[in-house]
Amino acid sequence: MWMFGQSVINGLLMGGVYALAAVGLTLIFGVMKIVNFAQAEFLMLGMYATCLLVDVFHSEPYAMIVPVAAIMFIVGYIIYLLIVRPLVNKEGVNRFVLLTLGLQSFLQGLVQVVFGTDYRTVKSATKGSSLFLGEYSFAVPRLIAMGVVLILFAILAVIIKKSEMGRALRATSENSKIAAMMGINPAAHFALAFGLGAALTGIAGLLLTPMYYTYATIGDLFGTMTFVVVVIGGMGSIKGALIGGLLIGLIEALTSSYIAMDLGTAGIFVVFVIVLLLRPQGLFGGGAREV
Amino acid sequence: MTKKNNAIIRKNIIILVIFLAVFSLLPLVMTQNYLTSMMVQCFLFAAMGVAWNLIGGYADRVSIGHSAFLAVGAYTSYIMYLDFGISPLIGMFVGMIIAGVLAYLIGSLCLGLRGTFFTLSTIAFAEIFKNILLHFREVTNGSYGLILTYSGDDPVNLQFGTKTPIYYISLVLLAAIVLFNIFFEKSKTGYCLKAIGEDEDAIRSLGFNTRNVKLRTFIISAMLTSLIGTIYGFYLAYIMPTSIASTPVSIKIIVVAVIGGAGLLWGPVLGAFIIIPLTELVNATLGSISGANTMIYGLVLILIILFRPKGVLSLFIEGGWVNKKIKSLRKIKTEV
Repeated sequence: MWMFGQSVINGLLMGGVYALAAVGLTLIFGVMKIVNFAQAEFLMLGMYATCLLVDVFHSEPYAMIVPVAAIMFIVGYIIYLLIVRPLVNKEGVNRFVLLTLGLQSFLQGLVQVVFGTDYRTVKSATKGSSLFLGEYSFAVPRLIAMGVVLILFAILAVIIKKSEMGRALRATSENSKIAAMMGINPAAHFALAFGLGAALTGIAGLLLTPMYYTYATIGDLFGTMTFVVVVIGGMGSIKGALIGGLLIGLIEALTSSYIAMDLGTAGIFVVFVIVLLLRPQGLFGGGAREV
Repeated sequence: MTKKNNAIIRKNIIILVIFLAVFSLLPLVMTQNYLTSMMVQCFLFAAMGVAWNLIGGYADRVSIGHSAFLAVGAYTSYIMYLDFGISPLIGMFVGMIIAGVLAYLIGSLCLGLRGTFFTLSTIAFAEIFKNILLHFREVTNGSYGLILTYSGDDPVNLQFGTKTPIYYISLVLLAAIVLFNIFFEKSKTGYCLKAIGEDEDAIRSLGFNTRNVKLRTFIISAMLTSLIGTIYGFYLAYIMPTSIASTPVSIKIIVVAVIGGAGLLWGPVLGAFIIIPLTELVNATLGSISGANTMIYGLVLILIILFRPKGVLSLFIEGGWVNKKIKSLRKIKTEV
């Protein structure tokens, strides 16, 4: 029973981070209808940004949420302008697939060239500390991550639902042509979505720094996971990303504890394929989505 | 139509014969082991590109899971050779059968999915497969991989002291796969595939069973990739999940095909002869800087997609940039 309870706790806490990493992807997909295969590299860039800022300011990584988000927003925005924008309104979904695959290799290689292959860590008072509730332990960095994730999801939900910007984003997401007729500039909102998506995934990176080493290829560890979360939750659905993330964390933790430690990811992908076949639009995805 | 087809087939076969002749004679003048090794990589990646091109180029269904089929071929023949002493010449056919069955299962599950969803599902399967390789340590030796120890020349088991035999083996393999594709491209299935790549709904409305066509092609593509995997594995003499079953390997195959020209017969061949020497050049000049290679791959892919989405070869074919230049030059000549 203890093992089950502890697995559920670990899984849900990890799932929160997956959810945040994935919400950037789902946001970009929702608005632009493209899958960004380089999304996990935004996570990696967020981790590096955190490491550098912490080195400079000697502060807790968590104090750097706003600057990291700002940096990542700018990074996402510039990447959009440079390479994604020229392809908007052109035929072929696969061009985006190939383009973002190229971007993924490029960013990964670039970071390796600039920062080397050393593993970096940040100093944090929370590292390695745990809280205990009865016989169950809660790792503090994971608890903080979960808290931040829930707050960010709440803020995001309010922005998307209530603000003028959110309405425009939703309109563009539903039908960018008609949105354009209503005086919304789709290209501007594509850029906004790309920047926001990069920023959110960047924050997920920041939250990971006290738990994981920072290195150039860490994106590979989370990359496919974020696709799975988004497909299971429903492409473009923000609620779906949260629930999908938690579900994936849970499945991974349970497979690792009960079947085999190193088959955790395989368990997820099996569930992924099942969802893809039975409900390709995901748990919370809209009805008929042509992708 | 058939006359034109025959002319194209004949032209392609002539190109293939010239290609074979040139590269058969090349080892006479090129004696450096290093260059021979690079050519082997060119041939093998060109072959992988051609195999990937069937489903990823003609039908425009991008698979990022082909590393799994490559690994099936390599691991099957390694395990059969190391554990049971069975020659890889037999192992490669067993590998092809396994890859075919696997492709049938994956294909019949996922080929109905549209566009990006199919791509995502291929990643998922490749990841599952890599995890399986890592998990069943007793058979695959987990993340340490499997090693061939060289103990003298042994042609039946593809063990050679020099690189020259493997050079000819991979050249012939490439030529055979290209030859197959010359005819495949002009078959009914080939035309149907191109139509699927353009507009699947339209061709389906004409009464074609597109799912069957895609499935058949996916199986062929997987089996060919597995066959190449055996040769590639024995060329490397050392395989592990991260070197042969990982996403970067799939991406390398895609880069080869796309740079040359996805959906064009000679595209992947040209692509391999561009990207592999470029890689070696980067290794030679910036070898000490890790990541430079990955970065260049990414950059080249981005630039190609932005400026030449049909690949370098599209410059040379009918209506391409080079063709137009030649035509305009001829025009000037006649006017003069």
